[in-house]
Amino acid sequence: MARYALMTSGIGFLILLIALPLTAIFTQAYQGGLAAFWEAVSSPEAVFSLRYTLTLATATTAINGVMGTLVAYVLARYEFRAKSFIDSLVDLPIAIPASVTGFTLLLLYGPVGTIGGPLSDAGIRIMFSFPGILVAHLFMTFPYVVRAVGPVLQDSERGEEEAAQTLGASGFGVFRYVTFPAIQSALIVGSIFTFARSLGEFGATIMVSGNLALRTQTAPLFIFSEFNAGNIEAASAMSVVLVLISFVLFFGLKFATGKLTLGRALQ
Amino acid sequence: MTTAITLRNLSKRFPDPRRPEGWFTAVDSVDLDVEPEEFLTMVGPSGCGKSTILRVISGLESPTSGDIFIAGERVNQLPPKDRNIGFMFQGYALFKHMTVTENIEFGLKLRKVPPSKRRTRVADLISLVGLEGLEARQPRQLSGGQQQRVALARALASEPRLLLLDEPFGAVDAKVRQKLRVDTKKLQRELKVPTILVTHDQREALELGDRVVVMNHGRFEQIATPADVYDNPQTEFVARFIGRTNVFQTVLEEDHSILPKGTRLNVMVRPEDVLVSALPDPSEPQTPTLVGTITDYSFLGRTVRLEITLTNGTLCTVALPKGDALKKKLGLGGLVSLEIAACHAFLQGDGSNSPNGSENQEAIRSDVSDKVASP
Repeated sequence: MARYALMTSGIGFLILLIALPLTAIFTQAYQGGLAAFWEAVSSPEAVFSLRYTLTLATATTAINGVMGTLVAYVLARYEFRAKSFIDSLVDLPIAIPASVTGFTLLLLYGPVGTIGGPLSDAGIRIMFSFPGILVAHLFMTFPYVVRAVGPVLQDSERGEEEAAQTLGASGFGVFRYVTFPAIQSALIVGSIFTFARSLGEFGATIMVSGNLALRTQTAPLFIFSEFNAGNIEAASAMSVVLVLISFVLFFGLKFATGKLTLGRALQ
Repeated sequence: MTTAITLRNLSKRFPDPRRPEGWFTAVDSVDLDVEPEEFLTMVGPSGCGKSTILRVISGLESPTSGDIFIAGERVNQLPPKDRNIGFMFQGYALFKHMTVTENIEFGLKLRKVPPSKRRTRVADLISLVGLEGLEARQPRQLSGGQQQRVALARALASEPRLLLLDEPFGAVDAKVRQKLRVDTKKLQRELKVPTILVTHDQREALELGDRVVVMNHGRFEQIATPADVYDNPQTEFVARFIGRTNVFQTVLEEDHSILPKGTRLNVMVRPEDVLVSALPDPSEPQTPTLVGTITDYSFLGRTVRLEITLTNGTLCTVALPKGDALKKKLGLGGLVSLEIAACHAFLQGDGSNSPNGSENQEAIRSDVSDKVASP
C-alpha cells in the first residue's frame, strides 16, 4: 500500500512539474497545423539561431570535454596547496546567477573592460560576437565534465596506470590505453550534460551577445524575442525543437550507457 | 658475473607534515646485491618499506638518495617504461577493459613486437601459466588464482631482466595460495629470471627464497638463507618475527667473559628447541632447574604444541612430534621437566636491535640457559 502511495505521489509530481508544461508547448506549437509549425521554424532567423546554438554547444562541449577532463585529472591525481579552494571553484558556475556571469564577463571583456578595452583598440572584439558567447557558455557549463569524470578517476586504481608504465607505456600511452577507457562513459555523460546546458543557456548569453538577430541570436534568445514581439507560434515552435533535441540527447544517453545512472556519475 | 640488481645506500623519504622532522623514512640506506637467477624474498611487518623498495627499483618512485644498478647499469634516471622490469602488483592491477590475451600482449604491443611473434609469445605464456581456454575472458570473469596467473604472464611477457612480485598471493584463499607458491617457484627456476618477492608472511618468505631479507623500519635486519635466518637470527627483531619463539627475560648473575654481571638479556627459545620429559614422581628430588605443568595441549597434525607453566609462573610454548608426545605420555596437567637445546640471547633495551655477535651467542647460551626460570 505504502509502495503505491509513494509511486503515485512521486510520478504524479514529476508529471505535474515537467510533463504538463511540455505538453502545453507541444499543443501550442501544433495549433496551426504542421505547415504553420514548419514555416515558423524555417524562417531565416529561426534557422540561423538554431545553427548558431548547435555550433556553440558543440564547441563548448569539445573545449570543456578536454579542459574538464584535465582539471578532473589534476584534482584527482595531485596533491597541492589550495586544492580544496580550486575544487570548490569548479562548482561556482552552478551557484552564481547566469546574469551575474554575463555581467562580469562584460566588465572584463567588454569594449571598455580591463581586457576588452585594449583588445577593442586593437580591433579585436570579443563581446557581442561568437568568442564572447563561447566564453560565457564555457563558464556556465564547466562543472559538468569535471564532476562526471572526477569520481571515476578517484575510484580508478593508480595500479593500472602504474602497471602500464612498467609494461613500457609513455605518459600519453598510459592515458590512451588505460585512463581514457576507464573514464570514457563518464566523459560521455558529462559531455551530454554540457551540450544540453549550453543548448538552453539564456541568462549569461543575453548579457554578452547583444541579442542581434542573424548575428548573435541563439535559439533560446530567439524564443525570448519572438515571445516579446507577440509571435507566440514561432516561440513555441522553436521551444518544441529544443525540447525534442534535449529529449533525444538524454534518451540516447540512457540507451548508450545502460547501467550508468546519471545520478551516480554526477554526484 | 655482474649482479642482476644492486642497491647502494638507497633511501626513500616521503614528506609527512605530521612528523616533527617533516618526512617519513620508508627506506633507510640499504645495500643489496641480487644474483642472476636468484629468488630473493623480502619480509617484514606492513609499513616497513619493502613495497617501496620494489617501487623504487621499478622507477615508479625515485630514490631520495643512493643508486640503483640493473645488470651493472645505473638506472636512477631511467623512466619505468625503459627499465624492462616485470612488476606484479598487489591486487594484480589487471586492465579491466581488456581480455586475458590483451592484458598479456599489452607490453609486447607497446614494444612494437610484430603481430605474428606476439601471438606465439602470448600462446606460450598462456600455456606456461595454465590459462588455456580463458583467452577471451575479462579479468572480472576470472577467479583470484586465475587473475594472479594473468598478472604473472603479463609481467613475464616481454622477457624482463628482473621480476618484482608485490604480495603476489595476498588476494587468494589459503589452498590456492599454496599451489600458486609452488608453481611460481617452479616457473622462476625454469625461466631463471632474477626475482624479488615481497611478502608480510614469513612462511612464504622462507619457503620461496634462495635468500631472505628481513626488513624493519626501512632497514635490513638480516640477509641470509632461510635456514640461517631461522636458526641464526642476527637481531632480536628477526628472532621474534621469523617463526614462533619464547622470550625470557633474565639477568646475568656473575661476570661473563664478554658481559658483566647484571647485564639484562632477552633469551629467545624456539618451541622445538625445548626438550620435554615427564616427571614420574613430583616428590622425588629434582636435578633439572626447569619444571612446569602442561596447561594447554594442542594437536596440530604432525606436531603437538604444549603450553607449559613453569613453577615461577612463566609461560613456555613447546612443540614436538606427535609420536614423541605419545611415547612420553605427555598430557594436560602433567608435570614435566624442560631442557633448552638452543637459544639466542640479545641485550635488553637495545632499541637498535643490533646483533650481539654470533660468536658470543654460544657462550651466552651455556651461561643463561639454566637461569631462564629465575624470576
